[in-house]
Amino acid sequence: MSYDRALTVFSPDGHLFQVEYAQEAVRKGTCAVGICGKDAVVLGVEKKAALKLQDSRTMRKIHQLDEHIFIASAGLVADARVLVDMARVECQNHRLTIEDPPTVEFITHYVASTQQRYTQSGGRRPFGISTLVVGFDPDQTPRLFQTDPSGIYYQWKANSIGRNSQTVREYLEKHYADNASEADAIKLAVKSLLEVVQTGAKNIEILVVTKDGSRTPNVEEIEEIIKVIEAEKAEEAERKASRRMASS
Amino acid sequence: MAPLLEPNAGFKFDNAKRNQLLSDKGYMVPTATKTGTTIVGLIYKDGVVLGADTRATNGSIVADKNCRKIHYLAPNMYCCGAGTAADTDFTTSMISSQLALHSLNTGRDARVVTAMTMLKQYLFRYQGHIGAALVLGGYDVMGPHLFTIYPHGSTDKLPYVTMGSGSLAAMSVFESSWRPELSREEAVEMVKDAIEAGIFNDLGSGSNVDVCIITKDNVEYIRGYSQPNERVPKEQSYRFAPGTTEFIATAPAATANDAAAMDVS
Amino acid sequence: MAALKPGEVDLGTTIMAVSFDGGVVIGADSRTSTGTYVANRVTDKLTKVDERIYCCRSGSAADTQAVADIVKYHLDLYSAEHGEMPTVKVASSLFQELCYHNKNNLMASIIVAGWDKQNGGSVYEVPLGGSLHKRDFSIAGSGSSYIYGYCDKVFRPNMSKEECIEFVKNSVGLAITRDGSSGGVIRIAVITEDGVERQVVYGNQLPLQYTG
Repeated sequence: MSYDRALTVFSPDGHLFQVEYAQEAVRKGTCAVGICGKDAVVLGVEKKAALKLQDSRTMRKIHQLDEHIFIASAGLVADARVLVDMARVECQNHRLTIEDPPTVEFITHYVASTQQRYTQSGGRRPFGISTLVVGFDPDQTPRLFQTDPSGIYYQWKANSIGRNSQTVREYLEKHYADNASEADAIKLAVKSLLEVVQTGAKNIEILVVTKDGSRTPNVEEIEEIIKVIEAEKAEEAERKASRRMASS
Repeated sequence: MAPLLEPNAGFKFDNAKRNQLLSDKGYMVPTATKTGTTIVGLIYKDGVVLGADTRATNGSIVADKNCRKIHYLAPNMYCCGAGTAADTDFTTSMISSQLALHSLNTGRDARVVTAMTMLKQYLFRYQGHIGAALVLGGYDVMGPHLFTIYPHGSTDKLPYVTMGSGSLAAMSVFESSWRPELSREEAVEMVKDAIEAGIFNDLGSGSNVDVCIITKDNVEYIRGYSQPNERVPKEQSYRFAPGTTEFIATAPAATANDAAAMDVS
Repeated sequence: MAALKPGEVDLGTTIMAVSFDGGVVIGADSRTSTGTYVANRVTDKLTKVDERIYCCRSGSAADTQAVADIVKYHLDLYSAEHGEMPTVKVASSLFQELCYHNKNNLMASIIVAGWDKQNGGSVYEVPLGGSLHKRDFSIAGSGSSYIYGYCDKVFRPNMSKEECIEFVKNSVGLAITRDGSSGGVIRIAVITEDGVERQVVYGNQLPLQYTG
């Protein structure tokens, strides 16, 4: 009896294998990290290297859901596209009926519920993506949420999804500080991505969201930040070396 | 949560029986609030200027002395609405949602003709029963555009337009003064004059002038640009001095403590 | 058959199309009215449905705009699927389909005219009930009643392009003078293999005629 074919069948030891396989698909996608600061929230993604003839502008990992809410995904790109389209319509429905912009939690709940529905009914396979939903609530609070193929969602101060996300998350646990400024949040996002992205600034994309809007620093800005980080690292290494010398 | 974005043909008649029963019992059917209205738009050198009065009427009573008739559609497009107030409000809200989705989907600012086509196809589907007469103006990659959309779904593209019960008064101002390549000051003054012509000569229009100026990079929405109908201060104080009304007899009213205690568990 | 609903915008109108060897000349006035008010005095009633096929609209503005948009969509799809431009006959048949099967809900009287490779210039009329008639020339709209006699007398087969333009100019001009629902400027379009040439005749350029 293979319990991993049909979705709505539990295995004897309580597993939904299709969901777990979907989570495997997520682990194959490129890394994405989200950092929640005091008055900014930063998304950083590892961009897949574009093939020579490909127009890299059309390879989006970060999508806009509404004026104040953005989403990054890791996993199957086509599944992400479908979920993003559904979430965008839901944002507009909310605005039309409630006459207020949706909170980040509201739209995350919708995305997660949709992902869960595809694990229980309809005979369809689950979405092969985890998402990071970031944005500002109408009361100006920055938020970061994460969803996964099983349909769970939690709020995070900082998190990562995709390949090597465990490494990045451990790095974040070590280095995250509450109430980070916008600049510090950006630096932390770049630093944590550099742990797993070998090729540097041209494969990193950052989105900074504040209560007034959003911006995407260009490659030069990111290279500047990386230079600062390397300078700091060099300084730190020298200080350690000199301390060792002094103590011996 | 999903409101009516998909086309469901026709109206829902679920309340028809209830309404009939109520009106048989003698309850008056509430009339729709109309906006009477003077709304105008004109194209000038750098963009579009939209103008509207602010009176909403319910029969011969003024229901709202300062309502908003210039509705947001997109960051680069606004729409004035005349006719049934609810119809103009909801039609513009709905098309605004659809434009937001369209913009996210295409990654571009929406074009004014897109909004015009969405509006006209929606109104044509309802064969004129949705009483929304609109003046749509905006600035997109192709430049400034101005359209009128009638309740039955026909549209016209013109350099200056007026709609509503005060449209004839306002059009007389435009026909005598409009020329191509107006400056911003001239354009806004002309719009103000046109709306004021409607305010003073049409009973269905009144109160203030709202103006919205849309250019390539900027939108300026001026609520109450002109307020020619401010209420004059009252001539005297009409408060009655204490003791004006004579007491004939007094009796204490029943207090809460007298009444039977509430049953609480 | 439907009538104009109260408040509906009316394309009062005089519209006309004449075919010649090598193409067609179409013309229309430019007045749209709501009741007694002229809603648009510079309307363009000559609507493109394909690169070399135009329709002249009269009746309800909303109905004719909606029908023309749908036909334009179908002709677009036709070109994509067939890999060649549709003929004027195809376009007029599409108009007929819509106008006949929805005759109770539409008030549209349309003249379809254009050029195609197989037949050169052709003119078809689709009046109120949704019938289809191929003609050498066609007039329609409220103003047309006043120029039937003039047109029948003046039209000759095998006129040149310039003679057709004069014919349209004079006929529409006369109709405008007599019909209250027609007015404004005269819009003319000449459709040939090489393209579409548009002209406008303003009030002060109208051909000389008796005006009392």
